[in-house]
Amino acid sequence: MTDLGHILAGLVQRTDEGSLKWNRTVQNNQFVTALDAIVIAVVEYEADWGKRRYRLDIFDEAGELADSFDFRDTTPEQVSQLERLFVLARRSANKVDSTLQKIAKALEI
Amino acid sequence: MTEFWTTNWGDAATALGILVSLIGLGWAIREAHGARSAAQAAQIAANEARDRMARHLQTVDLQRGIGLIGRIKDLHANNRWEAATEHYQTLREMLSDVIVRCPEEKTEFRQKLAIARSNITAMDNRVRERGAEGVSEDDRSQFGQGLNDIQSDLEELASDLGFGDAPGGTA
Repeated sequence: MTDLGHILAGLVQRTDEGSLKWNRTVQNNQFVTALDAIVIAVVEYEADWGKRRYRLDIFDEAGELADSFDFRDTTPEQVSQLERLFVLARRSANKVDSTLQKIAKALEI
Repeated sequence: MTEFWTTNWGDAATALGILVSLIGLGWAIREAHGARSAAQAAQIAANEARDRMARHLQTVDLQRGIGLIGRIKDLHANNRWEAATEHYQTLREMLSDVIVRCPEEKTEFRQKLAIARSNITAMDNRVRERGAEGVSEDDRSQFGQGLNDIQSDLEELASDLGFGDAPGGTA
């Protein structure tokens, strides 16, 4: 079975490189990307006592939720990867790089 | 008159598409006459007809999806959230049909459709979780923006598919 850690590492790496683009959805704090017709969603949600948690949802080619991974299914290292992925996905969806470039250009730096 | 076209343009598009497909088939058969054998000619004609029909069906589904989004927007505007949730399901199924019919090499096309479908799912979940009473103005605004984005993606995809591609091209 493919290890979730490898998948998370691959998603983080490709998002960081800019080769995997993420999109916003109508749901706050949810960002999605597609690998062919398979959709991957990374979600930030508030758990008990206001603690922020992260979840990875995988939708199969028919659009059905195939599986979900959150802090209960993951190792501490994977939890960190998931959080990192969320931050990178948000930056990608919000096109932060392009905004920063425009700011730098405006400031002539 | 406008209302008639709003509700029946899908059927008109189907009829037009079939006509275009038949013209395409005729063209393909004429071209196929130059082939070395009858078997080759038949194969070429069949492939052309299949490709055109697949492209046509995808376009019709996309156009229907665009029309359905317009209807969902009207339902949202009139706070008819329960009726809207039924249409979300129909729209998702429509998009799934297009994805299934889409050639595997059209990766970007399939990705866009899959993301559009997941956005509809997110909308559906939000309405079901909160109930009609719980849909806020912010939700309404986000839904409107989300639907506009999907509509514009579908329009772009439908326009890319078109009817007038050179014979022999794939959808």
